Amino acid sequence: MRRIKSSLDKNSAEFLANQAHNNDLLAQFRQRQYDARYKRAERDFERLRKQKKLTPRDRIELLLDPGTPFMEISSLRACEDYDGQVPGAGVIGGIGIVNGREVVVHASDSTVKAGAWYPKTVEKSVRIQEIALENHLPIIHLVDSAGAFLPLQSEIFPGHKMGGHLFYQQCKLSAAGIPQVAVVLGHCTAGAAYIPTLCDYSIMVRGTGGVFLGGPPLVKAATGEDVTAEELGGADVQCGISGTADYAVDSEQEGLALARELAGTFRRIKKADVDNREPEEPYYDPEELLGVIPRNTNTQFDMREVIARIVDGSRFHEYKPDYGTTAICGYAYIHGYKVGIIGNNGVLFSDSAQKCTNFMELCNRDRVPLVFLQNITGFMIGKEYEHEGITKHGAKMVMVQSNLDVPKFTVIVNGSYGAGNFAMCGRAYEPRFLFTWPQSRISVMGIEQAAKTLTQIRIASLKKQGKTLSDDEAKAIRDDIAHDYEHKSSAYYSTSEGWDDGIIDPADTRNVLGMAISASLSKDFEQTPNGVLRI
Amino acid sequence: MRREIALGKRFYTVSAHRHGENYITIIGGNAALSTRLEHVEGENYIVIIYGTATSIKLITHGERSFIHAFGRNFELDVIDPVDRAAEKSGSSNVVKAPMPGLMVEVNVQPGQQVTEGDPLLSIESMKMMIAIKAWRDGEIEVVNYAEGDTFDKNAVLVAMVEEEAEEGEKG
Amino acid sequence: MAQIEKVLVANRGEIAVRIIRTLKKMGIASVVVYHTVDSDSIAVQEADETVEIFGPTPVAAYIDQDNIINACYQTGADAIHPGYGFVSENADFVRRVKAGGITFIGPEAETIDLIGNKVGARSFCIDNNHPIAPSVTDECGMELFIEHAKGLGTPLLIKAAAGGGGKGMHIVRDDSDIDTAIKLASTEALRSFGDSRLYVERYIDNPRHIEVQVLADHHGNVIHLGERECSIQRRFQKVVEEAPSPTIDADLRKRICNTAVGIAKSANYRNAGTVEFIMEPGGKFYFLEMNTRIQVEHPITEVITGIDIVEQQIRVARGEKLSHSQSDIKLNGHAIEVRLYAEDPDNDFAPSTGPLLVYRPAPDIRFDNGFNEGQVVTSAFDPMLAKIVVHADSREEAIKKAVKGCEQTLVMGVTTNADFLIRVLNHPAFIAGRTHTGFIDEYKEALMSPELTSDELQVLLTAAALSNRAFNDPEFAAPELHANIGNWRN
Repeated sequence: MRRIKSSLDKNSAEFLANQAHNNDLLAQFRQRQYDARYKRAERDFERLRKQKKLTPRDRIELLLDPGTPFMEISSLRACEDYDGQVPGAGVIGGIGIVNGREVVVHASDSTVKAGAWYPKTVEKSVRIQEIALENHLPIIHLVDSAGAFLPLQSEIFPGHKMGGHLFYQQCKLSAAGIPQVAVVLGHCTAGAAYIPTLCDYSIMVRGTGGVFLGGPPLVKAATGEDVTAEELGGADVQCGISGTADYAVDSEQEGLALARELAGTFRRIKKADVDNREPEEPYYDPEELLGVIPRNTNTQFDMREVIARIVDGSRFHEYKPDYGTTAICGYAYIHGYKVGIIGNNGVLFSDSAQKCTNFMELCNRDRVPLVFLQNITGFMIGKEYEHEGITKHGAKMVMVQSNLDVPKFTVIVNGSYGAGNFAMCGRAYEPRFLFTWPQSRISVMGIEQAAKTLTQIRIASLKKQGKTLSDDEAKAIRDDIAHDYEHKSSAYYSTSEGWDDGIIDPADTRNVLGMAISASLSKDFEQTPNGVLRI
Repeated sequence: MRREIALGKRFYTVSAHRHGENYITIIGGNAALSTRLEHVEGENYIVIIYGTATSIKLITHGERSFIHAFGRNFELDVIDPVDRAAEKSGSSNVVKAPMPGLMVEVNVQPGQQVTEGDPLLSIESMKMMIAIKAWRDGEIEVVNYAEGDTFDKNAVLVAMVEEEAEEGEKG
Repeated sequence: MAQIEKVLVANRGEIAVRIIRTLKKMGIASVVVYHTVDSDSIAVQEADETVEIFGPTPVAAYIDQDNIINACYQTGADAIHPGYGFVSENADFVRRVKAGGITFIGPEAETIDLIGNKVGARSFCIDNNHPIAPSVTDECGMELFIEHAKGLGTPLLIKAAAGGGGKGMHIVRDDSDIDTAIKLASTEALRSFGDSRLYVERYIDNPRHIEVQVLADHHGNVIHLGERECSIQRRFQKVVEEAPSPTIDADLRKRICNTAVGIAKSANYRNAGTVEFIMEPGGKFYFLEMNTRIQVEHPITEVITGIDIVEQQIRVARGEKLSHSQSDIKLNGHAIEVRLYAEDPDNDFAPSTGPLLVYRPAPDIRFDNGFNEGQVVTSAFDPMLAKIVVHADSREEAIKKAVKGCEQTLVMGVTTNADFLIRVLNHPAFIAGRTHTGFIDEYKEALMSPELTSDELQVLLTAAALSNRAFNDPEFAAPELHANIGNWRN
């Protein structure tokens, strides 16, 4: 396979300016991520120390195999909500290796509001379990939570994919033959008591672990009975008397060592059959991506330069290169796995949409997972294109993409707008994983357009009420709208709301995709019927 | 993989994982080492650390490695992490009654040194006689029941003095 | 003259092997008794016949007189060689053996009573003007004994009257401890030797332990085979022995050896024995005890004199005259023996057990050993594995050979004191011949294992990890992709 020939001039003013700009953005991202992961009030650590508990991240490090990677999901979830008071939404999730097995780790972050469940906490946990279910990965829960954050209970309890859905998913995981282990490091009260109980294996730490449908205060209030947490549902009670849990240990370290031993008993899953070869580092340095990404979202760049810094050996076989040139399709290898890559080099036209559709069909037939690199403002509009049938051709692309059997992975490299997001496998199209770059943008249409449109509407409605606006007032409204729009289209807002599985350093894209692809192959896939194409 | 390895009275946390032909070995909190163990023949091996080779003689028996190197002899034990964690938290210093029963025979007394496997007590329960043997080498701290006494489930029957160990390079 | 055509070896381990080999050399049939824990031993393999014996413990089996005597009748053995320890100095046993018409290869029962018993021996020496250290014997009951002991003043050495081989001995340095120490020693003596009697003597600090090998026939001939120095001891167990002693000149040698012969003669001693002395700095020596049997460290005498002591024992038991006169005895060169123990010097010399996965003696040494590679060392017996014996023209050479012997003897599967022995042999004080019974205590610090360098530690820990399944089992290894990425976090 031939290597992409990069035409990047690393000494050009453009490259250097981009690099400087993106370095800053990257630094900001790293700082926000660091704070979300580690910056806490001293009293949060003090409380854990007093209870002889390890920090959640220390627990994870003890659980994982040394010398192996951990791909964390959505480390900045809820970063734009709850006044920033619930970093990471109070729960840590990711994919790591435990005793040689790929597992999903689902850990309460007890340094954040004692691990209490906010609405976004539940959403993130649901997503984490969804990853386990969709990719057929074992899951290890490290439970240490204070329970639901009651003031927001209406967003935590009653709905379809709220709290109850977690236990439903656990049952589905079990039925799918996916092993689950819980290490109970704190109290599992009320509904949460089901978490360890629905697992295959449940380990409880004496003194701190507790499983009960109603805790001591509730019991006292309800029946007047005075009982300690340990007597009510502590490790020895649940493991020795009721059989609700399986292993009583004296320390968190012992519990985590035991969880590791259990993971060692999980069956080694045979990966889905896809082509692979010996991996190879990219020929071009991924660090250079910071110079490729433009300072302005609207500036065009060659997606091939991005591909060259993600794939093995920078080798890429481009499919149908002279046709539909605003879409780039081709085969490459990532960490040894053969994948099909679809990237944008401009808006989607009929021909580029058709080319993508064709390519996706080839990949689906040949069991080649697909990676979508989004930088798309949308489909071309206008009379010529409508008459050509661009809506129809775009629909074919969406139809094929939606019904793909091969695993799909999406990276929002730059812009992700409107229907382009759909065709290019945005979140709603259920890629196995979706990641964003720090400077990326996502909204139904570009800010300029949106601001202009919304402002016109506002002005029109005010006019109806008999009011006219000065230029300044109009500008103020427009700025307001633009500001709000800008805020809600940033990568941070996206990650906060859970529209992605995390913001990543562009240079990490290769490792992230490699781990994602590997994880996805634990679930086999078969050919299923395709939808009907409007030809 | 990560384990604690005992050498003499010290424990060292060692992690080693494959990286191509070699293993990356990390001892305590020290820098990672690129290492390899080559088998020459019989008990002769070569340990290679960043290209420096050392000839040793090595033979393993279960979790114990007997090594003859630098003209001296050493025994190292790779410790199971669950056992080690249990040991550290003290639960491996006592034996609790698996069910209620009667103390039939006491073979040891406080202060006595025992070797792993030595018979310590015999208890009878549900018409069965169970021999409680020493689960490790150590010194008997206390036997809580005399011959003829009855006890409940989970009663602490016998305790050994906590083992002293120095933490080696934990880093 | 007694017929000796089949000898039953009432012992085990290296001494049983050594006796059996001399028997073979002499064309005499050999029988060995064995407890099941020794069923894989060399002695059991090399003896012409074997008889399994039983007992509540393995040691009990070997000291059960009925076991031994019945085994003789069973196999038609006409003589018993008791080796050392076990029943070798039990006068009652000797009487029973004799009464059963079996030849006992050793002295008469009366001699053992007289001089084998520590208490009796001392009175005997006093009566015969042989030099002894001030002491008290237990003849008038515990109360008086304790009083007399206190009268001697500290430091005191308490010994079991029927004991030997350094067992059952305690040093008391504090007057206030005398009472409890004596009571404890008495109970111990009863349990280990079947006789609770003790004797107590003034303890001389840092003496040398000098012993003389004597040989006597039934025709009144008594000769000595030179002295041995066994000062390097730990808790009264000999660790390193050498012949001749580095500090004895020809004159002192003559005096001490002649004294030993004199003691043997006045006791009407027969067969092989060893007279042990304690020697002050300055050369004054006192009778310590007589061991009425062959000693563990006899090889060093054999090696410098060229005489097979076991062979001489058998000849004497047959009634032959000694084949050498005193003037025939020449001491050539220097010999050193070190005792290889299965113990861990870094853990207070705690005994070590386990299988002898690799067990290979060094070349160019005499290796008196009873274990086969693959045999399991248990805690049933004392932890001696083998004796490494070297012979050279000079003491300097002998030390070098002994060090090499320890370095090149490969034992893997149990911890041994080999490294410790090397440190003793290489210690400047040992090389200078400044040996005394407090040597190991005095140089305790210097004799400790040196700290490992961090490079050495890396080699050891790497080897242990990489050869262990937990680390190298592919079943638990991270998948290729993740192993290649390594310790990365996004």
